[in-house]
Amino acid sequence: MVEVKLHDIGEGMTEADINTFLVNIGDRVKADDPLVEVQTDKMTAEIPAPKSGVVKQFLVQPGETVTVGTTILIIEESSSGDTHQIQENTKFTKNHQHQDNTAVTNVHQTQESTTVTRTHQPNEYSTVAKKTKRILASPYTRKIARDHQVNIELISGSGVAGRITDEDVYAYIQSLETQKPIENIKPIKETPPLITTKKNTIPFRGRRKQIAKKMTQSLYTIPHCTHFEEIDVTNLIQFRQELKEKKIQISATAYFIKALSIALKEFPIFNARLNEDQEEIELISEHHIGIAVDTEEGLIVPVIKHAEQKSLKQIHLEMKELTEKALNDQLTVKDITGGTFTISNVGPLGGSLGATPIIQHPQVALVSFHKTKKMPVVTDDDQIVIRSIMNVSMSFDHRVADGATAVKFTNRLAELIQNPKMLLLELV
Amino acid sequence: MKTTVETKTLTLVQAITDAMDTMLQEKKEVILLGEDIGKNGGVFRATDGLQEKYGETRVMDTPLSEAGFVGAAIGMAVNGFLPVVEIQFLGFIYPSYEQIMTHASRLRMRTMGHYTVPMVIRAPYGAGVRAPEIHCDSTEALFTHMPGIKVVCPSSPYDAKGLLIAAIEDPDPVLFLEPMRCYRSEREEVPEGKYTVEIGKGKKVMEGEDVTVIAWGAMVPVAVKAAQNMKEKGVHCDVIDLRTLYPIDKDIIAESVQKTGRTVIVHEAHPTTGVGNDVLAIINDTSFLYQKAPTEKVTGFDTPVPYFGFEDHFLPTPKRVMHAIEKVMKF
Amino acid sequence: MKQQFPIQQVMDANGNIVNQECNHLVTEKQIKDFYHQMIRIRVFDRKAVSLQRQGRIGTYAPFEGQEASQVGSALALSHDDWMFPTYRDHGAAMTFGHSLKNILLFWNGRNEGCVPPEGKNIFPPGIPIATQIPHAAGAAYAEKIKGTTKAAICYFGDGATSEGDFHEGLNFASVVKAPVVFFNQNNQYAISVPIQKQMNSETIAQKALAYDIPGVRVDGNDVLAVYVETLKALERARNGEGPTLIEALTWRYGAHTTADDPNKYRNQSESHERRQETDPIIRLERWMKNQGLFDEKWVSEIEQQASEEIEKAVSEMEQFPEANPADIFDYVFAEPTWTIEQQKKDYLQFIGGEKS
Repeated sequence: MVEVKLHDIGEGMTEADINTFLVNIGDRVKADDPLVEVQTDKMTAEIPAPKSGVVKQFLVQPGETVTVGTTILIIEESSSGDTHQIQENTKFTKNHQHQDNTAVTNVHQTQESTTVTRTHQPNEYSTVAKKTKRILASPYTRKIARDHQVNIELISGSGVAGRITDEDVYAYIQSLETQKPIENIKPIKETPPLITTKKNTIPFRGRRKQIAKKMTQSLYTIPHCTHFEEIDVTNLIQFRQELKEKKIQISATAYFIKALSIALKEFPIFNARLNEDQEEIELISEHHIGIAVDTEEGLIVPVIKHAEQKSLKQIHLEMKELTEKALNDQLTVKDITGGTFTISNVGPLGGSLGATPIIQHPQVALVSFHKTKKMPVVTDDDQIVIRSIMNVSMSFDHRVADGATAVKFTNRLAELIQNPKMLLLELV
Repeated sequence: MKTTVETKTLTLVQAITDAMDTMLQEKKEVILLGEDIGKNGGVFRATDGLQEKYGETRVMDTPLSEAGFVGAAIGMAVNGFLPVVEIQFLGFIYPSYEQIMTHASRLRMRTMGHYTVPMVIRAPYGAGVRAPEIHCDSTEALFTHMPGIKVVCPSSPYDAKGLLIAAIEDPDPVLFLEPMRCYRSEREEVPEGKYTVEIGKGKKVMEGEDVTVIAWGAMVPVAVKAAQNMKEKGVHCDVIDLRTLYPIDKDIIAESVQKTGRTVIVHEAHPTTGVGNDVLAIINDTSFLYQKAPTEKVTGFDTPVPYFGFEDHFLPTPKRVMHAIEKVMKF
Repeated sequence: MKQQFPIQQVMDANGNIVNQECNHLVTEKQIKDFYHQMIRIRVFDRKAVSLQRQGRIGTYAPFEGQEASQVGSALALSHDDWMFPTYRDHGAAMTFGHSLKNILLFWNGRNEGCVPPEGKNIFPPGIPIATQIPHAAGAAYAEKIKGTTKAAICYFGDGATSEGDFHEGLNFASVVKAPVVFFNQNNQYAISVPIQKQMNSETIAQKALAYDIPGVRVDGNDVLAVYVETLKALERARNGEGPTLIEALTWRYGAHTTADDPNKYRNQSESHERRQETDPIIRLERWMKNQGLFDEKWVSEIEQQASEEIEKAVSEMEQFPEANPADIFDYVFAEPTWTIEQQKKDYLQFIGGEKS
């Protein structure tokens, strides 16, 4: 039995009309004898017999529109060589299927979907939590998370427009590590944003909390810890002098802020806040630096927002503007809130060599820059030279940070101020 | 006031005929040129009946000479006509490549707008209909790389008509690629009369949040099929039909990729310097930070389009697209 | 121009010899050889159309009606000459010694179909119109530089003369006096476009004037005339006299390819009439009948013989191993580039069911 089918005989045709049968049922036909005339939108064509035999059955009617692949009629072959013919027919059908595969057909697709269903089980895709929020992160940042096997979608971003930075991922990893050995608690919850955007947090639990308890117990009357440092600002003065000759004015405070921001990036613990109720220390990636300004009404602290993203020049100009606003009593609430760290530049006021500044609640630390004095300094090769030395004092919340960390932090700050060109290394 | 728009059910090739019919009627400057487009109605019947209706001057059987009639159409376009030229298969456009590259696409610039070439070159393209060799090329990138010509490639009857009318009305040359594999594969309701689909705008053909699948022309049904299969497995795809390959709709790409963060690009052309790479560049420019996985491309190969005995291997299949979708999902 | 380029004929449509110069050719054996070859390729052509309608091969370009042009010209060649056919000239290629199986494979979408038998110089069929004309000029010129006496024959249709490549190829060949015969089969239709719409010239042969080369117009359905004129042109070529343009006037009865319908663009009754009046095979039958040499038994024998040869080729084609996807990649460069290596590896891995 040979099924005579309609094939795509016209480069992309999908169907044809049956015009007339050129044979009758019972007719004996030779291979290649015309059997039926079909009409497509491109042509009229005769479909010939693939094999010799007797026309057995018409499966479609003249006038009917049939799609490619439809069996039009059946030929029964002469009894001799039946097996051979059946074989031929199978092959022919296969050939036909092959042809169908070129188009997007149902048969083809069904086969495909079953194959895939068999080989892959659902739920093996990397997005476990579906329909999660959109994440902004560079592929490198994502790689850090991937390498540490943390789900980046659980980290909140501190960068522009909520972008997750490398630091955010590291802080998150650190937070997981801190938490792991002590208490087996599920990942930290996000704290309600206290300032503007969502922040990174370190659980204020476990060892850290134990330390804090002790600290508070022993030092609760003096939660502040202050330490002093001398910073050689000779190079900075010289550098500012060079710029001045080029008619560029950058205040020393702007340098301090920039240096501070760089140091804070490396010691984020000081740009943080302690939230005892939530049992969390919240690390803040934005450096909103408050500058204590003395006015007639008393101390006021305008805030330079996002110091970490700003150039020295921007910081200088903004500071100037804020200071002017402060002196003219034009500051808005926005200008004076949201600080994450505070500095006090008491030098210009001719102030002291040192003080124990008060931390702006709920910040973790504060740095005061004191008066600069020319002092004889013994160099490494035992020469005595005159250098400009500035005293700096730093107060910090001892519940949050240790003294050693604070010393490292101020050392780094001093290094950056002593060698202003090192700021270049931090340019992004 | 309520207006009723009559529609009719057409295949893609019929929609193209309808667009030319509409514009021949609308503007006397529209003139069709090409080999066998007159009495024969075109090798794919795209101009069926139009010579009978509009005469031999407006629907002209040209000599067998692609450089000749494309060049002549440039001259006619400069001199007030709106020629719509048919190349029988994209694989036969190359004799006229010089005319398109050095003249059609840059006359406006050379003459600071004094001479312009508002012509359309229609060309069926792509494999999958068991046509002989060289009839199956998908070399759209040769033209997207060409400054000064727009490249359009619809996949549905509605878009085909609207885009062809837009192309005819466009003041600059447009290469209008017709996926011959889609010519008769689907029917769609197409409005009667004149309407346009904006050149340079893609279309969302399926909505999903997990993966963006970007395709055009004959690969759109393949992408849709793959996306439908993936849906059953719980992966939801945004499927974008770019429709225009130059200029590419970057907004639709950015919007989708920023949502999904995972992209699969499907085209049948060769991968090297393919339009898929331009899509990738757009993703890089607009959506770098949203990317969750490296973008996968499912394409033909850097080989000539093989004879049709091999075209099943060369052409992206839904299965290959699904494989790529799984790959970006599992990254 | 028609006077300047008269149609050369040896045997007219009624089977009468009209040119006594070629009497040496008009022997029973020679005529039967021509006849046999023409029957052979006609049986092949009809079988191929039938195979296409049954979905067993892809789009096919039939040549029925042009047998005399193809057989006469191909038989004039020396065995080591070059042949540059178009997609409609596999009758000539078969006559010249191409493999039937490979020709069928070509129409079934397989690259193997473009591989000529060992020792035969047969170019793959020219698909984009006229592009093979400059190739033939170049290949022939190469033989001239090498100092051989090999020549080339280049087939093309009437429509091809409108392409730039026609002019560029003929001009090049005429400048370097390349040993090539530009053999035009003017079947008077380029798909649907009749020659009057194709060109303003009355003849194709006259185009030779522009290159100052011989231009010959021949009855393309007269196998003797085609044979004789091709032979002369080849002799001139081998003698260093450069190219010749031959216009063989003929007619294709059927469609351009199986993908179109000639009823759309011309009255097929003309084909029917021509079949009765000027058919190249019937013409030889008339001669044989006139000579009392026509033997119906012999005819059905050679038809049967042709049929068996072709059925064997069909069966070889159908039993040919499935397309090996590696072939797509392995013949792009002598040494595959990393891009292709990578794509091959990925794809083979993919169809092997492995995950990369």
